[in-house]
Amino acid sequence: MKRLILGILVVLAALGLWLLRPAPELAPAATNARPTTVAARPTERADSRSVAEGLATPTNPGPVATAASPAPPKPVIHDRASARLAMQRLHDIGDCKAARSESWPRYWAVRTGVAWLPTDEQARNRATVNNARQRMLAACRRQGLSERDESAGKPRPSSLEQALDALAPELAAVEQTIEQAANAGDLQARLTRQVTARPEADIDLETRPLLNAALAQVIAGSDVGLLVDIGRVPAMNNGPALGPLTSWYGLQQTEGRPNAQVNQRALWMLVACDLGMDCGASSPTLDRLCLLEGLCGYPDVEAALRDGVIRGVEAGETELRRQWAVARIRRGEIAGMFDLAPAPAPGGRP
Amino acid sequence: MLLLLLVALFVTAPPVFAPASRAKPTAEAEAPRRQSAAMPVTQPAAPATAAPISNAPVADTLMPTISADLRGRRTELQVRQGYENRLLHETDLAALARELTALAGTGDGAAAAALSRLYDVCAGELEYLGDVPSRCRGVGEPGPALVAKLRAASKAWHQLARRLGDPASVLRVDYYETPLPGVPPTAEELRMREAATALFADGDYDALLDATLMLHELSDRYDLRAFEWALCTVRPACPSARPQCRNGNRCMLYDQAAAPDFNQLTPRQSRVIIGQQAEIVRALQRGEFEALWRPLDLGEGG
Repeated sequence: MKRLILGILVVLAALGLWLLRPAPELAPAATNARPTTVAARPTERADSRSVAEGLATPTNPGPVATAASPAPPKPVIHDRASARLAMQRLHDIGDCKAARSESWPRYWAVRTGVAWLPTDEQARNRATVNNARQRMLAACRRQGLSERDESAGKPRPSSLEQALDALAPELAAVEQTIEQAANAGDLQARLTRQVTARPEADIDLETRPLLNAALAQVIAGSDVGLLVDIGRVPAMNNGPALGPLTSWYGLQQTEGRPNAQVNQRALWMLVACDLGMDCGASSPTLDRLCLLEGLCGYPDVEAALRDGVIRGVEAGETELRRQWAVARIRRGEIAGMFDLAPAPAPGGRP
Repeated sequence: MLLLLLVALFVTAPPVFAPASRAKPTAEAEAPRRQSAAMPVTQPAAPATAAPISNAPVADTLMPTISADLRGRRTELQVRQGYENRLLHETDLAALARELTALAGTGDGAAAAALSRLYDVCAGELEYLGDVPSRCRGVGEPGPALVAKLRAASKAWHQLARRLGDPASVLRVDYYETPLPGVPPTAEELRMREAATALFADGDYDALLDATLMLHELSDRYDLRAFEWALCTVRPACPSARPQCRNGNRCMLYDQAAAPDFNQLTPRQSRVIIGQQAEIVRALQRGEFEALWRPLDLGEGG
C-alpha cells in the first residue's frame, strides 16, 4: 500500500513539475527585431485602428503577391507581459503595412480621395506623406518585416484597407493572437476582441465591466491609448445602454430629441489627446490617419479629425461629450460612466 | 472586393400620392434627346402598334405572359417620360396597366418598366390605404393576397424590362459585385455601361439620378453623390409645374437646401466630392462617357 501511495505521489509530483515548467516566451519576431515594451513607448501604440480594422475585414490576398518576410512566429501567450508584446507586434504589423504603400502613389491618392482635393491641398499632402511613411517604417524594422511592397505592378482590390492587408501575411494569425492575449487578461486585446470577434457581446456581463476596467487602467496611468480602443467598441454606437456618452438623446438628455449624432471613434481619440496621448503633427496617430485615410498635412490629430472624420451633424454633440468625458476622467469620477442612461427628462437635465 | 446589395426602389412615393389630374402632354421634357442607335426607337404613337387591350380584371393578368423570343426595342425619352407622367396623374391605374401590358407585348421595355412601378405603387397604396378608394381600385380585391401578387408581378415585369433592354431597368439590380482592378470588364458590366451611356446620350437625367449607386460601382472610384451633383449640374432646370420638381426632385433639393446635405459629410469629403463632380461634369460635357467607367488600371497596378 505504501508503495502504491508513494508511486501516486511521484506521478503527481512529476505532473506538477511539468505544469509549472517555464513557458516559452513569445518567440522573437525575427533575428533583427528589437525588443520593445509598451512602457518604453506609451504613446506609439495609442491608436490601434489600423490593426483592428484590418482584422475586421477578412483578408483575401487573391492575386496580390505578398511581401517577402520571415514567417510570422506562432505566438504563445501565457501572461500579460507576453500578451502586451503580442499586441505590440500586431500594431507594428499594421503600421508597417500602411508604410509599405509608398510605391503606389496614384492608387493611394485615388483610394483616399486625395486625387480630387484642391491643388494646394494636394501639395500640402505630398509634403507630409513621405515623412509619415518614413516614421511608420520603423515599425517594420522593429519587427524584422520587409519595408518594401513587393506587389507593385500587380492588381489590387478597390479597398485600400484590403490592399494593405494583402501585403501583410503576418496578419494571418492575428485573431489567434488577440484571443490568446485577451484570455491572458490584456485589456487592449479584450477591447479589440469586442470589435472584431464579439460585436454582440453582452453589454451588462462583458462590455460594461471591460470599459470600466479600461478606464480604471487609464486613471492608474498605465495606457491612455486604451481610450482610443473604447471608441471602437461597436456597442458604443448602440444607444443609451452604456451611459450618457452613448445616448441617442444627447448628453443633455432632452426629451423628444432622440437623434443626437456622435462620432464615437473621433470622440475617444480626442479624449485620449486631451489626456496626454501624443497627437502632434508627427505623432503615430496622425501618421496612421495620413497613410490609411489620406488625412495628411494637419498640425495635429484634432484638426485632421475635424476636417476628415467628424461630419457636420456630429460636431456639436461630439465636442460636448468630449469635454464631459475629459472632465470626469480628470477628476477620477469614472464610477457609473457607462451605466444605463436614465430616461430623458422633460426639458433636459444638466 | 466590393459587395453591393441594391434594393430596388420602386415606390416614387410623394408624387404617387399627389392629387390625380389628367396627364399633361410630355413635350415639356427639356432634356436633349440624342438617340442611341443601338436599338430601334419607339415613336410616341406607339399604342397604335400595341396588341389589343384586354378588359379582363387586371388581377387575373398581373404576371407577364410574353414570349421568350420577343425582342426588345428602345423607347424614345419622350415616350418614357410620358409613361412616368401618366403613372403620376392617371386616376385609373388599372386601365393604364392594361395599356402598358399591351405595349410591353410589342417589346416596349419602358412600358414593362412602367408596369413594374405601377404594380409596386398599387401594392403600396393597397397595403397602407386598405379599402380607401384609390387609383388602384380596379386592380383587384384589396387584401394581403393581392398586395403579395402585385409585389411579385412588379418584380417579374422588372425582370422582363431588363430582358427587353430598358436601360434604366438594366441599371437596377439587387446585387452587383465590382470586378477587381485589372480584371477586364465582365459581360454584365459592359451591358450596364451601355445602358448608362444610352441614358447619358438621351439626357435621361431622372433615370440616371435613380442609378447613382450603380454609376458609383461602375466607376469604381467616384462617390455616388459626385454623380448626383454632376447630373444636377448638367441637367436642364426642372420645370416647377411638374410635380416631381416640387416633391421628389433631388436637384431642387440641392438648390433649396444644400446645407443639410453637406452637413452629412465631413468638410474634406465635400471637397473630394466637389473635385469628382467637376471631373464627371467635364466628361459629360465632352460626351466622354467611357472616361467614367472603371479603369483597368489606376496606375502602379492598382
